Amino acid sequence: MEACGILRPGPMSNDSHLPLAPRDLLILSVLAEGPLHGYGIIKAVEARSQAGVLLDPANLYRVLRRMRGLGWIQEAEPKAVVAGDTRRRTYEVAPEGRTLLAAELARLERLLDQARPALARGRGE
Amino acid sequence: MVLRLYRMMLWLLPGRVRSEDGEEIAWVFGELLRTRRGFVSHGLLVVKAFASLPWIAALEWKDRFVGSSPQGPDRNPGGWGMSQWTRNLRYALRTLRRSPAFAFTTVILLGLGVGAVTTIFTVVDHVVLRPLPYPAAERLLLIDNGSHSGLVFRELQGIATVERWGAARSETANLVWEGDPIRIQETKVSEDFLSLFGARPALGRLLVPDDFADPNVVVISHGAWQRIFGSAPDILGRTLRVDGASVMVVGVLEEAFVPPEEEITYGGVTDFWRPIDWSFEDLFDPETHILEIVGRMAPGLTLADVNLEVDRVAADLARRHPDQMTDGEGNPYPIPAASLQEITTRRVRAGLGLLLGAVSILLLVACLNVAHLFLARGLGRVREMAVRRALGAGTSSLIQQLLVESLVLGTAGGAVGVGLAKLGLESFLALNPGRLPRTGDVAVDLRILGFTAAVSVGTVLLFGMVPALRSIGHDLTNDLKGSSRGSTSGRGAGRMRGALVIAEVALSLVLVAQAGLLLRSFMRAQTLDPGIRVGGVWTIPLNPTGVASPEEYVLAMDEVEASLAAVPGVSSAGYSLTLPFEMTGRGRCCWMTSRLSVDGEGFQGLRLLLQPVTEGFFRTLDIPMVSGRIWDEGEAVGEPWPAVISEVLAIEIFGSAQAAVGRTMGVGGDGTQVLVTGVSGDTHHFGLDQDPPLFVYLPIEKLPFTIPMAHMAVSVQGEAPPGWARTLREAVWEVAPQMPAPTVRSMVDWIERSTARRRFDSALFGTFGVVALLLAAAGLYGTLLFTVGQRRRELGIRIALGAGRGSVEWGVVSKGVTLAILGSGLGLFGSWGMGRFIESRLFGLEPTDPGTLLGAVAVLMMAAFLASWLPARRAARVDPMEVLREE
Repeated sequence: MEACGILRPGPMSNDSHLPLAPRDLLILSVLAEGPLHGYGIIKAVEARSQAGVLLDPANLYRVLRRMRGLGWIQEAEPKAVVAGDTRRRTYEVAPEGRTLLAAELARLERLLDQARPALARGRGE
Repeated sequence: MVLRLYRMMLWLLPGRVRSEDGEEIAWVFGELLRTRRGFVSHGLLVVKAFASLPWIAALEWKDRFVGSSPQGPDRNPGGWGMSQWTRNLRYALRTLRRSPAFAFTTVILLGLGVGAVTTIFTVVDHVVLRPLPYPAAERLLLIDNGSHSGLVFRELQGIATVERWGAARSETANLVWEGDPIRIQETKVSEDFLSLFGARPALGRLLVPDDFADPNVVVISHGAWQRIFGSAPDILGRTLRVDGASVMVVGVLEEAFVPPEEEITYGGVTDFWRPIDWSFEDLFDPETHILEIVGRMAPGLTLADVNLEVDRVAADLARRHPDQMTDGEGNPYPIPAASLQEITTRRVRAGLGLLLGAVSILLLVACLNVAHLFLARGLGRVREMAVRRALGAGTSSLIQQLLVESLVLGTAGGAVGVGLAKLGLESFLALNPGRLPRTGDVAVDLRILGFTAAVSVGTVLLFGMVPALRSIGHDLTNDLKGSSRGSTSGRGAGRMRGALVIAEVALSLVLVAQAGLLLRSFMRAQTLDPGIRVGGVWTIPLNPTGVASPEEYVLAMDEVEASLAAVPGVSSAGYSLTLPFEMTGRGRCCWMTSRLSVDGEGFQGLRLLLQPVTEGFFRTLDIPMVSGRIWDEGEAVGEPWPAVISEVLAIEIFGSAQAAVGRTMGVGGDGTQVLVTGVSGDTHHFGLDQDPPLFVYLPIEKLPFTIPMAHMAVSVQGEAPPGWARTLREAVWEVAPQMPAPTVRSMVDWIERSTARRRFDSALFGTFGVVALLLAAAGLYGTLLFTVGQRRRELGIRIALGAGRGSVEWGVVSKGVTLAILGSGLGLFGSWGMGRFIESRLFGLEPTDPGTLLGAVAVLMMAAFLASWLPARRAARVDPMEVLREE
């Protein structure tokens, strides 16, 4: 979760979507680093989660379509393309998605803050 | 390969999802595939992607229809709205008008195939599939194994699993009514018979129990009421003279009543319905097999339940009448109950099935040609499709348009098919080859139209749509460039055309081989020696009814014989119960026994045909004496009975014709001793393709019963003069004025009729075979022509470089012949597999007859060679200069 350091917690805007599904959280967080196309997303998610393929292509685009519909992400301008095939569609986080991600991270941090002492106490006894 | 499969699977997704993300999804999958290292992770990826795709697709479809995910306004690109359909329809009609040859050929091919299948299916549907037109028809049963005695009928009454029984006995009778005597068909029935079949009267009443005490009443069929009595409203209460007795009309059946056919009433025609005279004692003699017994099972039971009880009755009868109610080995005489529907159709079921199979193959060949056409047309339209795609048409809208085009062609083909089926049905029924039962109301109806629609739309989608889909290419730029050079026909399309040709050749070979087998059977049967004189023999079957005693019968018929013999030009006359070739296919006549003993030793399992004949019978039909002689007048009336036996019987019993003469045999249940005075040549009495029966000819004077059959034969020298039939009839009427003589027919005619089915079979299958052959040749020709057209440039260059025209020609021909050889190989396997279906219709040869099969292959190869040679000549005539100029 080091990468989360660059994000500042913002105002809670869209509580109804919290908590985020792990898959959505992962996709949002890799896109928060910069625009990516589908293949890039899968690669990044894999690198981050250190697990095998979490998403198969058809499912990925289904998720992306839904997130786009909710306004969390948007298609990036062609000039924003970093690497890879220029013809490929790339996605970036929309402002609303960024807010949501921040809110979710804040929620998780609170949760961790509460959980860690409990674990420490349990170990001490 | 895996990627291509994955791309195909993407078609599962809804159109919008596919157009939006399909390319991306496929690309990502391809990238993942490319970068995965190691067998396991590769495999995991593939399994996971393929397994989840259908699931995702299902979710997407759900979203599309339930709309769970907010996705903004529906733009419906390439949607399937109604306006889209009409636009496509208009466009399709316009395109098809622009290629009339294609449209016309496709419609005709489809129409032919669909029409042929529909014709036969209509017949099958009406004759075999539909339930019989009686109440609770599925519960009607018939006691099989021929006719039975009144004894069996009486014993069966006690069976609890059958709620009602009926018995019937159909025969011809002579009616005297205003003018010439008329022969009618009369069925005598038991009390419950008519109500069992749901008959209702249009006038008067049905038969009631009291009628059976005094059986001189008659219920007339609606048809007879119209035909004979001119629908006279005052028919009830009238008295008619039938077979010399007076009977009173008590009712007329309603028009809708169709009598049960086949086993019960011959051909389903009965003019008069009369009560069985139960006081006739012989009826209950276990050897009197004259009643057809039907019944209706109690609801909810099966034939097996009924047969359990029937078997008990059979066993009981066998115990009480061990001499008559057992078969040769002492088992009870079988009286199995069988479904009436099955019995009614069993004679024709196999034949119709075979026919349906043959027309289906024909349809398939026609469809393969349709596939050729669509394929060729599709290749020609690659550019059109590419342009439309470049202009923004989505794949789904292109598919939609192809679909509409196919449907238009399918509908038109179906309509032509229905028209052809109507024609085909009429001519088929006019010929009614195997005397099909239940053909009275056969017509193309809604049910059949549904079938036709399904077949034509199904075939056009399968054989039209699939090849047409190829025209929607993937590589837009290449398609748009549209250079004619090699771009149009990929290897895949070429291979597909080759496969189509091979399939066509194979299927045609099956039909040609079957036609060949049937034709050879027909010709083989045709060349057999019938064993009798055929030319110049005329027959007049008579029905002497109302005769009191055998003596009276012989006296009356001898007079007719003499009267016929006295006709100028007649060289001899004779009569018997039946004449050869009248009873082909059905061994239901006349006087048979399986009991024979010689010197106290019994013979088992022989079916002897006792044939009382006059001495003139042998002379008229020119049946030779192989050994011995015919009885003389003294012997004919003396003791022991003299007999002439046929040669097969003589050899069977005595070893040779010579050994038989002078021996005595015990014949029939009571073991009457007969002395063999002579052995005659064999006759193919029941048809050229039937084995000659084991005849025991007896003097007509020895006939122990009266029978309404006396079939006269006369032989004439030279040509029969005009009006001959009338002359013969008048000779009959001179001595028997009340005797109907409806049929005067030459023996040539009888023999032709006896082989009519074989002729029909071979003609029908021959037609199928020729059509299939032509279609296959056309397919091959078209394919090669197409290939040659495509390779014109290459051929031209090769010729310019010095290739001989002969070698160019040979190249094309060998390609066609190779396809034909492959197809023939497959077809031989097919014929071999189909063999057992046709086996029962063959005569004197096996379904695998190598000569016929090789002949069929030769015919096909000739056709294939011709079909390849024409395009080959065109290939060789390619002008290199012209080709190079075009470049």
